[in-house]
Amino acid sequence: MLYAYAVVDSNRKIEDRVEGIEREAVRNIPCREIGLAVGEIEGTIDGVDGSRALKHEEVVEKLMEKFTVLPMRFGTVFPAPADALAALESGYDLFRRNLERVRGKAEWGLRVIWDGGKTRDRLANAPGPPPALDATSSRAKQYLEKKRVQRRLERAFAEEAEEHIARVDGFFAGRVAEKRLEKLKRDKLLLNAYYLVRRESQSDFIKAYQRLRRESGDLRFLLSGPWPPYNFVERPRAPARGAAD
Amino acid sequence: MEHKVAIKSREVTLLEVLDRVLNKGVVVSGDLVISVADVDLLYLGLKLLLSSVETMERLRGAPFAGAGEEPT
Repeated sequence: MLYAYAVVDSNRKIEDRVEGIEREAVRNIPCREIGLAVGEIEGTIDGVDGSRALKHEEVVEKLMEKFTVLPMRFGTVFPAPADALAALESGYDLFRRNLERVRGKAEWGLRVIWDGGKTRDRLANAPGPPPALDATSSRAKQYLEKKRVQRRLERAFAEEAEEHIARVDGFFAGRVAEKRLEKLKRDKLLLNAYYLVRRESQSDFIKAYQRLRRESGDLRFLLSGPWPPYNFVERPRAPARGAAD
Repeated sequence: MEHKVAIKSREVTLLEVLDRVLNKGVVVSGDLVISVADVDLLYLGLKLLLSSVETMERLRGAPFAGAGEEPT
């Protein structure tokens, strides 16, 4: 079986020894101007294994030092080189376009943590419009009023979360090539942001992050990078359904 | 790498890696590709991530100030 690590922007042989998840040598299967970095493994990948996932990432990062890469999802295997080649051919134009998009850039991830529970409590205790009820209101009216208040709180919560997100994201304006924001707005996790950053802009990006931390006492952050551009690859078609689905 | 940020917890590193390698990246369609089932690791991972953040705080005995810390 051939285990696939990444689509690379080269049809050349991989000169340096790169060891894969089973310590196999990683090689390149060329297809016109690009290639697929693969390793020969025994059997298939039939489960999620932390050390293998780390190794997958390590291989992609090593490839990233030499090539522009589109990382493959963990667990992608092909029975034979011809199958890998067919996959490359079928997505060739998309791969080329994506390789150009991410060339010279890396992904950075930012998770933003907040105390959403505290925000909810504050909003719930804030003075709101007077209730449209009196002592003679029916149960139905009371129910509707309760729902109205809940909706108002949810709206206020979402607006406040949105304001925080816009403020956080604003620190990186002009410093990133592309971004993906997962606005989670959960009680603990506010946002997962993924930024595609030009290599020459990374120092500026990190400075912006440091400023964000200094100026955001109520929020906490997890910044990681530089990563291969996992979050910035387009899918060729509908995702494959694996045997375990 | 030049700007590699020092994430000090192996747990956090693993979760960040899992979030990417299992949920993201190139997916090639076709019967020939066997992919790992789409585990809802994003959600699971985030719960674990937050719990590991709290663990880190306890271990350090200081308020968590961002696993990224200062870039190296």
